[in-house]
Amino acid sequence: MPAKIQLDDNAYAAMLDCINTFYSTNTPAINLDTDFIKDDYWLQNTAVIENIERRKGCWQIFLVFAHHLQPLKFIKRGITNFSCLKKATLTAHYMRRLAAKDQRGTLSVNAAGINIIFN
Amino acid sequence: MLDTKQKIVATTEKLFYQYGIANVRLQQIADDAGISVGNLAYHFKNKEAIVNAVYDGLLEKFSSILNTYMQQNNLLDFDTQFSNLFLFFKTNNYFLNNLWEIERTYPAIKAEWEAINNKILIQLKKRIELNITKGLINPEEQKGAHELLAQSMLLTITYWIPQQLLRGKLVTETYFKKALWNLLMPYFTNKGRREFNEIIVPVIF
Repeated sequence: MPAKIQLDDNAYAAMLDCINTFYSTNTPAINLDTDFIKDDYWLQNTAVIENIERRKGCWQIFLVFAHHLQPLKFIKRGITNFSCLKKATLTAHYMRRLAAKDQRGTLSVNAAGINIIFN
Repeated sequence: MLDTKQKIVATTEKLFYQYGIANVRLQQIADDAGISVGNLAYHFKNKEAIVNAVYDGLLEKFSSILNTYMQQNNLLDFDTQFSNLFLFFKTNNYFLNNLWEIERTYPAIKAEWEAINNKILIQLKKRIELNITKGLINPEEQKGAHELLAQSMLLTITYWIPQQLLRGKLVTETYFKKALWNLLMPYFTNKGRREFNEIIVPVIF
């Protein structure tokens, strides 16, 4: 007769927890869950500008993603920080190249698009 | 067609239920199965071997109920397990009749029974947890409340049939399931009550 395998109670409880997670994977998503794809679609055509600021004694790298036709549509995200400005500048340069759609930087922001009214 | 071994086990189950494990002799089993004691001894060397064979089959049936976990993604999953457990305890209640004797004389069987019972309890708890995630059952107001709920459910599962029999009352699956759902009902959220009314009420009420 083959030996019986006894599963420890804690291990069994953990196994059932894993089975319980199938509930969420087997539940159909609602349309709202995938809205981020539609909402972030504009980010495909953005110019990326690196931005280094001194904050709390460090050089913080920010990347600004601005729509090339509507520059008022932009987001700014803090990426990382360095204590050395040269290092921060170099890293920011590579980060920009990595993030930008066109790595040579030909996709530029149309400043006229800002259309500021000075009155 | 049952082979001799299966026939012996089936006869023994019946005799254990009628007379209790201690009161059944090998001669009686052989007579009831329509075989000689020599033939019985050829298949099982002693009474302990027969008891082990009977309980191996029983515990296998019992543990197979555990396999139905999360086969349906709604409250019917709970309900199906209740049905399976009812069927098991209704058809094999000789085990409970002999529970204390098993504990005294056959500790290995007792340990196995304990292990499966603990797993059923864990399943009940995890089912409750899952239904909290789904928003069907309210999170516990006091720590350990759901643990106690699961224990009460296990108590009902195990001893509802014997207490009905002791009081000379009817043993039906519907009544059994109602007793169990009645324990869960106070914990339902509005969403849970809606799902219960839509899915469970037409089936059992």
